[in-house]
Amino acid sequence: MRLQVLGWQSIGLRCADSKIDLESGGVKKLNLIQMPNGTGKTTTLGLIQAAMTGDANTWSPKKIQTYKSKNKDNEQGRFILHLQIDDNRLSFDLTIDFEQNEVTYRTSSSRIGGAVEGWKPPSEYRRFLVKSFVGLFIFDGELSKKLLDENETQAEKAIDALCQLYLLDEVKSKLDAYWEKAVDKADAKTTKGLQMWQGKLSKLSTRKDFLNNTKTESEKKNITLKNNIQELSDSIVERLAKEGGKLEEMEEAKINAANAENQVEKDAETLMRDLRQPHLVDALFAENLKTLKDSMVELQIPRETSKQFFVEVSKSPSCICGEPMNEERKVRILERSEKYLGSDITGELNALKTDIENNTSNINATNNSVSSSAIALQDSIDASLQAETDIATLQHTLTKGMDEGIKEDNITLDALKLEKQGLSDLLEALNEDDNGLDSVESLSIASIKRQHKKAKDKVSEISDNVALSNQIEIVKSILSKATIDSRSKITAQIVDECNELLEEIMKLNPVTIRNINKSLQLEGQDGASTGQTLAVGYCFLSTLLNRGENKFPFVVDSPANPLDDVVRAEIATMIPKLCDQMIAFVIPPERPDFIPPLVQASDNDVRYITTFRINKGSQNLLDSLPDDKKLVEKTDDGVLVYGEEYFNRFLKEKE
Amino acid sequence: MSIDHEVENAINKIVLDLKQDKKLSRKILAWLGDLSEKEISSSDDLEHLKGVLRSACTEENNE
Repeated sequence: MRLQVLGWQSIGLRCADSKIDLESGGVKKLNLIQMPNGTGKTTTLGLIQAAMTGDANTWSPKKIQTYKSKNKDNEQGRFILHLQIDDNRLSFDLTIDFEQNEVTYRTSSSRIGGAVEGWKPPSEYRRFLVKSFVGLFIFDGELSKKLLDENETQAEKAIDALCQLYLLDEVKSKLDAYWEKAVDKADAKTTKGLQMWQGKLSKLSTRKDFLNNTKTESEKKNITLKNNIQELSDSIVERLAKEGGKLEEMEEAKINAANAENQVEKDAETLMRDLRQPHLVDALFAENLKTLKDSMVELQIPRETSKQFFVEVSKSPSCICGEPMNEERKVRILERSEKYLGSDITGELNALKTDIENNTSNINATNNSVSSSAIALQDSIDASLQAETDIATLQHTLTKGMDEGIKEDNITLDALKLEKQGLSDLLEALNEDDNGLDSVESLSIASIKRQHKKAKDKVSEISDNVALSNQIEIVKSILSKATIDSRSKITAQIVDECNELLEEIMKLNPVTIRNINKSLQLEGQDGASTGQTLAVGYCFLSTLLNRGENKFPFVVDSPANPLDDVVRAEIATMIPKLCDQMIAFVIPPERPDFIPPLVQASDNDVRYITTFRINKGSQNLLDSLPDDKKLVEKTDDGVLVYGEEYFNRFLKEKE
Repeated sequence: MSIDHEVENAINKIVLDLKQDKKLSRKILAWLGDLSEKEISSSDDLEHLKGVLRSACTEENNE
């Protein structure tokens, strides 16, 4: 990517109104803008940076006021910056409202095809137009100091910004965010959690198999026991009856018991049937039903309100109101008849009336029906119990004096019955519904099945999470290691390249970079002179900015001012080699030892601009302006002169 | 502006050292390249992320 500054215009701001053109006749390698102190160099640099980064939106009211012209009482000021990025032109137009303390932007670009409100550069350029990045090539002396300050991290930040190492951290953050989102609702996310659930699943699987087997076995055993009990019981009874000569009596008692039990069932059915008829349950029901039926008769329901009635009316020559029946009236009556009872409902109501009539005609007999059914049931239950008692009594009588074999069989029978009862209880517990509680010890197969499914789902879910976590950790570890390794290599390469440059330009005042560990560390010295600091800063940034295939301009305020005379020439020779376009804001005293070697190193591809503010003291400057008016641009409060001749003549007498 | 070649070299080497498939370094570098050169949509970003994770071999997805 290649970024060039094509020019800017300032109106109504702290710096004099001016329009700087760095494009006409082609973009020059070296652009010298001579401005006496107090003309607004710092203001212009600040505005270039603000335009490029969109940063003025965050300025405080106090900062905004620092850009207000001291001489004019204007409400607004404007600054327009023109850039070229690769083949695209891009302009940022700032309007600073000093009344509202607001800054607004407009952006125009060949890429977006016109102007839009706001700071909106094409998206692919945005990441280079941020303060941390732009601050590296719009250079001030403070940055050099920070690069060498061990308490600062500017050097490392610069490497990260230029080599885009921050992208690796960005990807790591994206992976972390993806992980958080993926496991947001999961209870357990770790290997430990997975092991816990796997253990639980294993126990539940064993339990499920055990309970299913137990159920199958118990059901089989239950059938066998039932048969054994029946056989043994029959055998005992038969033998007892034979032994006591009461076989017939026993058979008869058994038949009686069976008959009594059948009678209980019949009487229970009769009672239930009676209970389903409300008029048979209580006389009050019957009386109220009769009242309902009488009311329906009195109101002639359903006949008078039936649909059929209206159908018949519609067929009559006259309506019930006496008016003759015409077609319109007939249609309306038939339409509205739909809202009244149809023949199906009428039939139901008539059937209801008939039923009430038939069933409530003899209310006095009602009570006796349910009562007699209930009494009959009670009697048959008593009879059934008596029949059972008779058998037990007979059995007891026969047991006295029976032989040892029958006694033992009786003991066995009791044991079998006990065992069967135990099995029945167990089967009942196994078939119990799921109570929703989690317990591995539960006997309910339904509960264990539900818990097993839950554990299985959980294991599957956590397994996925654990796999995802491991994948993310692998990628993050690659990125972390790559950040450290590549930064270390890039740093070493930059240190070598910088030291080669420094060796060349700082022959009389040698300085060597030992390492870059957050800040630039110099070999064998804790501090550095102003010249050394600036030289090291230039070397470091230019090496960095030229890394890869990128070309950024180098915008510098008073580049030679803090330098010794000897170092000035050396640095002047060096800087043009370090960048594609240099814009240097210079003051007249920097000219003698700095400008000639700088111009020479730039292959004379130079644009000279001199600008000063019009005030009481500038009359002699106005008097000595070049005769060629094409070279001079005047505004309300400033003058701008293009050309080498005036540049070198400016304030010469004063020097 | 493309990603620095030293970052590329480091990722390729680490992926090899970890005995991961070369596909993983290609996917990571493609993602970093897109992030470096353009503003990518969230759906493209997610596509890159999933592609990278799919290429990362773990004991679980090796089985």
